[in-house]
Formats: sequence, C-alpha cells, structure tokens
Amino acid sequence: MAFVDIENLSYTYPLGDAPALDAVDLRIEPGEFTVIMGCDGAGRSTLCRVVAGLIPRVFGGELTGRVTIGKGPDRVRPGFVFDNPFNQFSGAKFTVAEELAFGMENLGIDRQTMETRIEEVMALVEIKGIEDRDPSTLSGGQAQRVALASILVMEPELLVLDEPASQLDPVGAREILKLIKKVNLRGVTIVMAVQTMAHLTNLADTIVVLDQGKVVDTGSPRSVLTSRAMGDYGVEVPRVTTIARQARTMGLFHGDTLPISLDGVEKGFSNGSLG
Amino acid sequence: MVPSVEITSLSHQFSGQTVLNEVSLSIQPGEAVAIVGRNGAGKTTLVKHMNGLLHPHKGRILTCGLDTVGVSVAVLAQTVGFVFQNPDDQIFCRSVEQEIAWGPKHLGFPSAKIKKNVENAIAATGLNNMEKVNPLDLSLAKKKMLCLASVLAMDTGLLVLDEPTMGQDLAGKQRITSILDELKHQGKTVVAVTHDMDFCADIFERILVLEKGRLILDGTCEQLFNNPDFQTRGGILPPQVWQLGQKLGLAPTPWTAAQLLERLHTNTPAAPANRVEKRKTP
Repeated sequence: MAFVDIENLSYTYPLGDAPALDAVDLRIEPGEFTVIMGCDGAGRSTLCRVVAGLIPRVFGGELTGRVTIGKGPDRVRPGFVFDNPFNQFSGAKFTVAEELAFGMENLGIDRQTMETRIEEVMALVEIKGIEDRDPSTLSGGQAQRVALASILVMEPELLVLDEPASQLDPVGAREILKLIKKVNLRGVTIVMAVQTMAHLTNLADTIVVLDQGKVVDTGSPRSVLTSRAMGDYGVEVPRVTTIARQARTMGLFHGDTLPISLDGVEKGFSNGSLG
Repeated sequence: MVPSVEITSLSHQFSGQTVLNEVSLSIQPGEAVAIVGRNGAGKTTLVKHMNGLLHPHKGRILTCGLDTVGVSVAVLAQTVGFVFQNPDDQIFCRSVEQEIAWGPKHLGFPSAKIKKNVENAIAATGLNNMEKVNPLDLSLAKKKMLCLASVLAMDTGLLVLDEPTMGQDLAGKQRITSILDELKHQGKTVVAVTHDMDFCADIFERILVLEKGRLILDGTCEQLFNNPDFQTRGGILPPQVWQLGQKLGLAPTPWTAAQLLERLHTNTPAAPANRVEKRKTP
C-alpha cells in the first residue's frame, strides 16, 4: 500500500470561490522523495497541507475524495515545515533551544532525549551558537533553519516542506536540500513544494506538477523538466534546460536529450558549436 | 549631486553581538545595487538603516542628504521606499487598494495623483481584480508583490527592496525584473538585498558582498563570479548560465542566457542568424 494515497481529492477553502485542489490523484511510496511544482496559486501549499493533515482539520473548508496517509492501518505523525518560518514558531518560547523543545514537550518525550536530539539536530542544520537567541529576532535564513530543526527533532516518518529554502543564501540552500536528502536516505518520506529545481534535479525521485489545482504532469525530474509544456504551467525549469532548448533551435545544441543539470552538459554543446 | 546613500564607518550591534562592522559606501542617484551575503551577514540590518528603522551605534548614514538620526522615518519615507523581507511585517490595511493608497495618502499627495499612482502600481504588479481582496488572503508571492506596489505608488527616488523575488514563480520574477528595468530607465536608485544570483546578473551593475557584518567586495558581477574566495565567504553560487559558460570555455564568461547564446552563435559560423536580444554586456 502507498504511504500517501490520495484519490479524486477536491478541496475549497472557507470563503473560497474556486477549488484550490481539483480531482487530485496522488500516490507516494514509503521513502520516496516527491517534489510539488507549479506557479503561484497552483495549489502547491494546499496539497502540502493536505498531506500533513492540516486540511481540513485546521483550515476548515470542504474536502471531497479520499486521503490515506500511513502504512496500512497505522497512521503516521507527519512533520510540516511552513514557507514562512515566523508563522511556524510557537510564539510561546523565548529562545531557540526552547522552541526546538516545544514539539517534543507536547509529545511527552523525556528531557534527556530532548537534549540529545536538540544537540544533534542543531549541529546537523548548522545553527549552533544561536541557542539563546529570541526566535523572533533571527534573520530569515536562520529562522528557516530553526523551523526545519524544530520538526526534525520530532523524528517524523513523513516530512512535508513548503519552500524550505526560499530565504536561504545559495550555498545554504544547497546544503539544506542535501540535508533533506540525507534525512530521506534514512527512510523518511519527503514531500516538498518548491518554485525552482536548480539544486534539486539529483535529489528528487518524482515531480508532481499542479496547474489551477489539477495534477497536469507526474514523473521523473528528467521527463517532467524537459517537457515543453512546463512553460505553459509557469514552472521554472533549470536555466541550462531552457538554454539548451533555445540553442537546439539555433543549431547550437546537438545532444540527444535536453540537460537538466550541468553534469556532462558540455558534450551536447561542443558538437558543432565550439568543436 | 547628493548621493542617494552615504555611509561612513557604520557599526551596529544586537544584544552585544556586532552585526555591522565599520561599513562605508556611497550609492549615487540612478544606480542599481545588489547586496548579497550569507544568512546573518548583516544585509537586512544594513538596509534598515537606509530608511531610519535602525540607527547606527557608531558611524553615520545620510539618505538623500538627510542624517537618518536627525529625522523621523515618516520624513525619510518621502525619499525612500522600503519593501520588507517578510510582507506580514509591512501589510496592515483591509484591502489591497487601501494598502497601496496608504503611502501616497500619508505623503500628502492630491487625491487625483493617489488614484493614478495606485492604478499604475496595480497594473505594474499584476494585482488587477484583487483591489478589494484582504491582503491576509493573498499568497506569499502576491503579498510580496503588494508590498512592492505600495512602494511604487509612493514614487520615491530611492527604493530599498529586501528579497524582492522571494516566493515568486517564473512569471513573478519576470515581472519584477521588468519593473526594475523600468525604474532604472526612470533614473531611480534601486538597492536590493537578494540571494537570487540569476536576478542579480540580469539587473544589477554593482554588487556589495557582506561577510559577518563587513563589506568584503564592492564591485561587479564579473568580479564576484570570477573570485571563488568571495563566493565562499558570501555563500554564493554563480548563476547556472555562468557555470555553463565556463564549462563551454566561453571568454569572457557570459552571465545571462542572451549573452551565452550570442557567444555560441558568434563561435559558430554556420549557425542560422537568429537574433538574440541583449540585456547587459559584461
């Protein structure tokens, strides 16, 4: 049985005029790394909230269809990382360390385990040294790392992330995405909404593309990102892919398939252009 | 000519920790300047000095000739528009239209000018048909666009934008690029904090790199992308176009898609003569 099984799901927010999700079918296997893409308003955050169990419980609204999350009869506790970390912070804690402990306290985890996990995760996401800072005074990037850390300490089996690197510097973003892949390789199922795949092409197993609440494409990063239709859906594909496509029409790219990363890309361009 | 921003030996501390350390720089009217660096490097703290939200603990900053310590934020708002990184820190009105009109209204613009500026800002940012929407119901990308619209409507000579492309999809980024192109054309001064190197390469002639509160580079995209030391210290990855250009051995290395295609085309005598639009020449 799939870890996440969504069948014919439609959802409209309270006071919403149109469905945010429209007849969505989605299956995610245990341990899979799934990326959700689409333009602004396509339904990426909404789908993340459904998978994390926040819709309709927290947001209300009208949901039809079937959503099953978990292995067989055992439901799992997903972890959800917000796109705006300041919306995620509890607001009840005055230091980063207390914020990291907040979720575990509510799960009834013992103090010794909490301290060990906080120590490990702070090292993992590289936020050591800011334990005593007030979360509300952190920079956007620091806050995003703390938001991720506060979920990782709870050791979720399913990690749902809504734009987890949008406020990070480029090197920091690459490191965090590698870290999320590391977590995935430990067996955690990942569902992540992003705007751009520039650093992700070697990380994800599957890309799901949404447009106006509907799933319009699903497949491997290569099959999805090299599809000509991505432009119609407003999806930002790696620049190397768009350049190669344009170069091909100008007779300057001769590779069999369009590249989605820089690995070995020069071969396609070298025939006939610089050669 | 009075510089848009003149900073002399500016230092700032939070809870005893130095976040800006002896920063000096000058930005002339009409310049487009990007500020980059790792998270926590002091970028937002620096730009918050430009409209008087923060005051230096040491040193001095003049914005359009005004010492920010001696005047209120309201007075500075007549010359500098500021877009916050987190839109929820900026938005407070009950509708998109009211939010955009608030700035020009409180700058004392006549009602006809307020109406025109609001209409123009809505058209530029693509918020048409959302005039009556409560800003809290907007997506992050639309909220960011609303914050930009609010500042455009104030028609200030200096615009300071903190992470303008954050949360934007492809169309949103293209729209912001086009807005900034138009602002540059109008001779406005634009200062933007950003992590988006493609955006940097497309728009900004001058790049400032901060590291742990110190200004370590005041130069061009080319100087930054050609120097691995600055990239490491600033947490920067060159744009994919730049990396591709290097892999292909193109010299000088292009940093926009148009430049790269043009160089490939020039190096290929038999290639068809497709016209490549040029934005900026390194």
